[in-house]
Amino acid sequence: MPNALEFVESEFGPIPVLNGRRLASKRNPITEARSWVERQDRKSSDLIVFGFGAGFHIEELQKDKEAKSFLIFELNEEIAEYAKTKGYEVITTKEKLLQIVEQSFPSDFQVLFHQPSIQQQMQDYDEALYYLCGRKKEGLEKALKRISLEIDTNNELDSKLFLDRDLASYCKAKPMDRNYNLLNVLAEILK
Amino acid sequence: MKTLFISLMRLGDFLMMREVIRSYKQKNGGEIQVLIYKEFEFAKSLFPFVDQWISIDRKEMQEVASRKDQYILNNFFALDHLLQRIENEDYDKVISLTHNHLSHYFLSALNLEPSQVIGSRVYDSAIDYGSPWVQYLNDIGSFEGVSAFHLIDIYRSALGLYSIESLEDLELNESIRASIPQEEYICIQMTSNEEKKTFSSEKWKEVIQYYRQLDSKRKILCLCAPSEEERLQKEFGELQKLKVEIKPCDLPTAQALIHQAKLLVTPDTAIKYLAIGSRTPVLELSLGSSQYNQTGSYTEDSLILQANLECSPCSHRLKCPNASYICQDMMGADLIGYTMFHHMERNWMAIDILASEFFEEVNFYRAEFLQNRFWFASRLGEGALAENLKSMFHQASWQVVLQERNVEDWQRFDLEAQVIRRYLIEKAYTSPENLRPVLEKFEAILLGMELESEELIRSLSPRDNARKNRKDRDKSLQAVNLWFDRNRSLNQDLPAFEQLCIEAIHGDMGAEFSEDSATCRVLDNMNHIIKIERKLSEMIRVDYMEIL
Repeated sequence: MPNALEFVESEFGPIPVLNGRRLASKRNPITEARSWVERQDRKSSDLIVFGFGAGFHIEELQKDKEAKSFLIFELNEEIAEYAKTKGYEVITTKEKLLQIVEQSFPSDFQVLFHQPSIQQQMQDYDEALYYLCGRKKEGLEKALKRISLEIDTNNELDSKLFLDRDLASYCKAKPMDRNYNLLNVLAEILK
Repeated sequence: MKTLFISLMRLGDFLMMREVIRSYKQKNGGEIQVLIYKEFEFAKSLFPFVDQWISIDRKEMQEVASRKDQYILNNFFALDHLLQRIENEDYDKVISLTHNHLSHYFLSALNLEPSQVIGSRVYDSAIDYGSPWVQYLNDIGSFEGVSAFHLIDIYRSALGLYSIESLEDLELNESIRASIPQEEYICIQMTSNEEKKTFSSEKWKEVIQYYRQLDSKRKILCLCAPSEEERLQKEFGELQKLKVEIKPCDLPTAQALIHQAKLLVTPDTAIKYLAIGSRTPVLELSLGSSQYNQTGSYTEDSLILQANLECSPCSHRLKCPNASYICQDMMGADLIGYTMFHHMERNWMAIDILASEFFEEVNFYRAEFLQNRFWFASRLGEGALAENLKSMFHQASWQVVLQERNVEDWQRFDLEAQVIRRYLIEKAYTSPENLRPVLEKFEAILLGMELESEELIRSLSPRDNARKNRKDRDKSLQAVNLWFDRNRSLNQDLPAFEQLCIEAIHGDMGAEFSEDSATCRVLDNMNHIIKIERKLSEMIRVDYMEIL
């Protein structure tokens, strides 16, 4: 089914409707957005929001002082265009997203999901998530490269969803390397 | 002087090292920082001498690792941040109080000079231990040997501490003071976090009833965590008439209660280390994987009971293959109840009789501090003296090796010989007639050991072990281990033994073994130990020949 974006008017401005589903509340989009921000169980102050939706949650997140920096990832091109009209920079491909993350985020980050925006393309977002977070081979390779380690070439790794505790075993062993030893520490802690 | 201690294992391992840290601070002063898991921070009040705490939040890391919205390197970055913090602190010493894979990798990741670190790690393409004592600990682990020393002694020796056994005056607040009974009492810790180490409620009830046959007066406090109170009240409520009180408490209160008690009875749990620094002896029920020789109660005159079983102690990780825990079954409720009473009364004669009576089923060990301040577990019961002497020769010889003294310099073994002489006189010498059968038996056991050693060495010979596959290599290695453990020979034909070892290790197993520096080191140490034991035995023999 092709994506069809429409808008309905509300006293807070236009609300996007994708394939017949509203991406924010018509009556209380701001309260809803605030509640969304509060609900997020954040472990990092560098954030990536999956789904722009109507953008109210982004506006609320901008007000949050604990959110040091954030990026917006939106796969729907029409919504991405809509976001631009509201003055937001939106990333639309996973490759570009990872490239910017590597340049902008020095260490940890976390993904926040705006469910109404992503639920119609859940599979694509999941794929992007696994890639970005290093849970799939290509993403893992890039993650390990960031810490100067290499993946141990093994075909069996292709279909795996990678786990933190097994990171050291996915790498080519470098017993003298600080980062390799740290991954082993992690493995022991998470045993 | 700024020192970081790292303890990343179980709570018991951390509490066991409390006195090591305290003594280190007493000796060296300066600032002490400790790195532990966040979940053990509740024990911080027991360490008032620690200036700063650093923690790893293991539960938080586990949560991060379980969430798909987290970058796979988030935990890595958290650890990296911690390491940078440690490196920037500019510590004079970083000391790992645990010897496991985690501490090895942790220290290996740190960018520190060898003089700063005590603990196993990779440094400059080789394994560095920072101390021969830590190296010994590693070799014991790698070769599945039995340690001649308590872990506390290993660490205090590595840190150059003469002794840590000292009485401690606890500073008690009002609420703790109020919870200490005015009357005499004993403490029992019934629970542990391992099923293998925990008696059933029914068995504890029996134990208490047997104890009550001999002592109807003293109160029995059953220590427990507040979270265990309800369950224990249900299970033991009926024993109130036997003056049994369930006592939920935090660690500082438990420590205060134990320090005032006449006796603490416990399985192998963290609680037993709270008795260190008190005059309260511990009756330790060493069950399951409990290795009394490395982690036993470090309090003078404590008593450790362990089932006399081939499988005891078992592996911490393995489930017991038996239908019931035989090590628990062999320790009867009557034996424990009666031992509790006599131990509380410090009636060592009665305990010795019990030890002799149950010699086949249960090993009784009395914790003692020798003249050189090393902890030693003396087996009790008739006929145990010869066995104790063997262990003592072994311990004394290892001290010479690990203190890196010249093993050829026999003149300098006086202290070791003196320790053994004194032990012999204290334990056995009431008259020459008394000593003679002990020494004869000692000689007979030594002869048996020699034959066993020869058998093992023969099994290593190239003729019997011609193939070079891994299975044979492992088999041979096991034989070396066994020898390493058991051989206490005093009359070994040294040149012949050396020749056999060279043939066995370098001849048959070839380059693979000769490149294995740990194996070569162990073999070198074996040779040293034999030489020193022989010399010590000659020195002692001269003594007792004079006596006889």
